[in-house]
Amino acid sequence: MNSFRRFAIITTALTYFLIFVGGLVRVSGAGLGCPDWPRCFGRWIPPTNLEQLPPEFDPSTFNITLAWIEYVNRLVGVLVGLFILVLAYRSIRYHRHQRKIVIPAIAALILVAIQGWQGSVVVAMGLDPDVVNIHLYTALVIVGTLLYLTQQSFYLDPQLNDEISSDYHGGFGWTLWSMLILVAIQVVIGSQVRGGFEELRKTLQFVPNIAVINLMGRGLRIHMWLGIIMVILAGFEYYQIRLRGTNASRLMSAVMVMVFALLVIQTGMGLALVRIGLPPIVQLFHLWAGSILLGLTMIQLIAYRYSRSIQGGA
Amino acid sequence: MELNTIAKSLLWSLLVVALMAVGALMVIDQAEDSRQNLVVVGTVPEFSFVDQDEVAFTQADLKNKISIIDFIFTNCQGPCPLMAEQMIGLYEFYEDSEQVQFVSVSVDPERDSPAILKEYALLQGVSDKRWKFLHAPLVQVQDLLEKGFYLAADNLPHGHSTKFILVDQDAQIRGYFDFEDPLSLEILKQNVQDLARADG
Repeated sequence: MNSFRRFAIITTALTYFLIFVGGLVRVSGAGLGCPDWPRCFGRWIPPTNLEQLPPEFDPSTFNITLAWIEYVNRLVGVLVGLFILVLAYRSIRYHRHQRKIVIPAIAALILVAIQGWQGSVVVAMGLDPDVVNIHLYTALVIVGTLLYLTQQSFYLDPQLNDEISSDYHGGFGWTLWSMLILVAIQVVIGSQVRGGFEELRKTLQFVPNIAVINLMGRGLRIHMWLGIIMVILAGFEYYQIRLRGTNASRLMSAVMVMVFALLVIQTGMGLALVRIGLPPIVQLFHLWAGSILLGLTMIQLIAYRYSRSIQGGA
Repeated sequence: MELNTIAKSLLWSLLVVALMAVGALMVIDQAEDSRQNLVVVGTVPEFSFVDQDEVAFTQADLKNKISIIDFIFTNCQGPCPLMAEQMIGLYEFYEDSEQVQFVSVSVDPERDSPAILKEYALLQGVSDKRWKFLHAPLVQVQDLLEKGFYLAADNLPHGHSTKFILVDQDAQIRGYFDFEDPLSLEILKQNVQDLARADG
């Protein structure tokens, strides 16, 4: 693996880590840990005690733990931004003529800049659930462009190109597209359910989680049913690859297994959320696994389309 | 890929995920703890005022309730109407909660008799016992402001503080909030929630 590919993988992994940290900020309720942006309580390094707090800030709004949780999210964000900047630079420098690498690299760079600014809006809007969700969706689009770039960089090298001898029939594409669309819908509904929960929570402060969940209604039911449909669809994917004599690449097979495993885990976590009443750690992993699922289905679809394009040309 | 490599990478990913889970659990716990450690500014001293129904209201009435307190006067043309608007917002927000009460202390007792306060309460849409409007001689109000809540009381009624004060179930002051700052009010709500949760 050359250093460009390694760097692309590291950048993508780091971005996934950032999504995890962002989720952690949300479930730990640290989103308003720093009331200002980009600095935190007027300082580039947040205060570590009350004495360091500048006089214009009300001491009662200061919580060291929450400030630092939020601040670490910003630091990791800056780190990811720098990695994407370097990645874009290297893409232009070494792969100038590969549009499938340069375009996603530049897109990721622009998006990550927007995302940084959007972080300030999240704080300024006092964690309005819709704004928080847009922050998440932007992160998912960024990770998508990085995955695309990484995968395309592997296809440049015949030695690493897994799809040269693969062969999928057209129907398989339908399954993959359906899966991708379903995962995307699930992420949106899931985050809306979460946002709706927060709104209900605010007005019903003293009601247990589980009772609030019972009030959530349609969004949650759709989310659960779509989850079950996805597990069935993953089974169908397995049938198409294994039992219909498709010549799938190793990547495709491996990702298929991962998607299936993650879907089962997601269903389990989803049930736990509804039954036990939203333990924060499960919320966090449910969301994070959802973002990984989205990435995995994208990887499958990119591989499929690439394979079809070279088979078509041959 | 050999089975060995698959097993190895699976093991590594599981290890990483487990580490992240442990880290996240610690962070979530810390965050939870830190919120319950809302600063205690001090305890509200003993006082004995009367409310808009001329029923005595003392420090003991702050116990076992979460109280949001402010200082106002009915004839105030300055910030009071805006304060009242935010206070009404909170009052309606906690409509279903028996745990949260609202207390507005008049800093103009000469004019604001309990009867006038009662009229004022009705004007604000107060329909239940969750919002008290308190009356006491000026000296006592001044005392409570300065010595009880550490707020300036030099030039009453006009110079009164506009802060919303959060007082917990043990009559301890837990924070001051700015009615003009939505963020501050948001934090107030979060703190109320944390106090309610800590109480069980």
